[in-house]
Amino acid sequence: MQLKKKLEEEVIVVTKRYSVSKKFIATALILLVCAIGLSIYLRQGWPLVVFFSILVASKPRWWSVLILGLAYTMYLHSGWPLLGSVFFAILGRPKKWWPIPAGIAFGLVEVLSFYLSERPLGITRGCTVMGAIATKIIDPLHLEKVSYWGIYEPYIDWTMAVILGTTIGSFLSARYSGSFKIITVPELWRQSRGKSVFNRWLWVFLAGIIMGFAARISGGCISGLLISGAIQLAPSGFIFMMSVWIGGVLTTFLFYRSRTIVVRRED
Amino acid sequence: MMDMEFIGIPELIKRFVGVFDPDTIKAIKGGSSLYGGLIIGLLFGIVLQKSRLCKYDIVTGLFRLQDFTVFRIGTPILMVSMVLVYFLTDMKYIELHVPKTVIIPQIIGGLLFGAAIAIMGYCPGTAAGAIGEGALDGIPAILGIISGSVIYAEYFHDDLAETFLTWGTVGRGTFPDIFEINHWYLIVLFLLMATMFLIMTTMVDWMIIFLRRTFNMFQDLTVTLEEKLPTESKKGNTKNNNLKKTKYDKNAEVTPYKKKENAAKKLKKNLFDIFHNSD
Repeated sequence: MQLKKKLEEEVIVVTKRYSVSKKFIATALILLVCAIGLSIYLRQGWPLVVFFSILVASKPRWWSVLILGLAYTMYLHSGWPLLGSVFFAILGRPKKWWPIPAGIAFGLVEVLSFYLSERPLGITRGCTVMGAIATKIIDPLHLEKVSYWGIYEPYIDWTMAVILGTTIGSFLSARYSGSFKIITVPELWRQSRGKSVFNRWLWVFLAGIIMGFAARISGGCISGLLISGAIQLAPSGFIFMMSVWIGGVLTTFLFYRSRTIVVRRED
Repeated sequence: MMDMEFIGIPELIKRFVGVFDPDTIKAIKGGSSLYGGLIIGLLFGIVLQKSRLCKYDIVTGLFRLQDFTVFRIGTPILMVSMVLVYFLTDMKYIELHVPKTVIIPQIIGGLLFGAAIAIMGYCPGTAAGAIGEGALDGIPAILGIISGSVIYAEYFHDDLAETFLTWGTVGRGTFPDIFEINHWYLIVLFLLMATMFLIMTTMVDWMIIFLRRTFNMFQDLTVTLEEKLPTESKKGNTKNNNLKKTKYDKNAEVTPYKKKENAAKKLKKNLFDIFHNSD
């Protein structure tokens, strides 16, 4: 009996997930007409592209992803977005990839960054430039006194685009596979350090300050120094790898103490 | 339409390839193009989310020594991209961009970086990915990283520049430059070591996953045992149920249901005590 009930519930959930309500179709049609009118009035394509992006964010299905790819193909006059959306619609369906294929895909992205942008993939430089921009906005006269901002000039550059792209890509992927879920405190932190949101966010902020400081001392983060250093056989990558590993394990055993070993629910 | 001639598959493929204009790639090539950065960031975010690297539970599991998913993902990254980068460099498609090596500050920085990762569970790239995934504690992480680098630039850079920050400077050399041998010897050596390491960590990780699943099963079992009991006991004697609500009496008669309940409680406590060494 219970099994039957469970099955029925699952069927309801599945049908709910794949069905499109009449209200949604009506609002989508009205918005589509508005977007077409706006793009004809402005003689530009971006309102339609924005409309299809919102469609994908609200209803992440294979057909909406393909429509978005087609819209970008027509907007940018290039076949790449359509090809990318076809691959994403097929490969993005599972909630997780098996570790070795995921690692190979990561490696290909790293090599693509070398080929396309002629620089290794790095994130911390973008955060430092954001700091420079914040300094410039708050106090432009003070900016010239600090010699360090001569190296990192306060202009929006490639690394900040990478940070924005990482957030958008992760959002798309999580929405498409249905694993998007807003959480403020992770499960393992709740098990080992309590459920207080303030506690978690304060510790994260303090650790972030240490991380930014350490990244400036050593000259890079995991992707900028460890991975891209190790793949070019530079000594810095391997030194950083070993010291991160040792520092992380020691701090974990000091910080979580008796609650170091906790059990996560396996999917 | 009537004049349309019959074309073969090679011609069709040629036309399809012609759709992908090489000028579009040239337009986004180079380290200053924002669109190129956005595309690489998109792919990076998708890969990070699918490999579960931007989850606190996975990354912190590595430093708690009970989840080696990060090693299982990280070793193929290094193997694949090392081979491809050196192969493409030999073919002169790309150039190397070797980071500077300064031994002492990189050891100190690495220790601090590891400490920060152990506490917050994100590195700068995965914090950005975690925000996109819905984990809102990536926001203070990014803010903290920004303020950390501002603090370094404001107060420490000029003072530290001539002290330990230059100890052990090696420069922009790689291992093949230092040992003066062909880089493919080192790559093959690394591939062998990495394969052994990958097999080892995969075996250990599978064992840990098996243990975790068994533990989850016992957790579920205890929960279901506790859930079923009250509904069954309602059919029997309602008086006992009322007693339980007001006051727990040890001398009250021990029903089979109560025996079961106590056993379940004991089992649950024991199971939790194995892993939670609660003070």
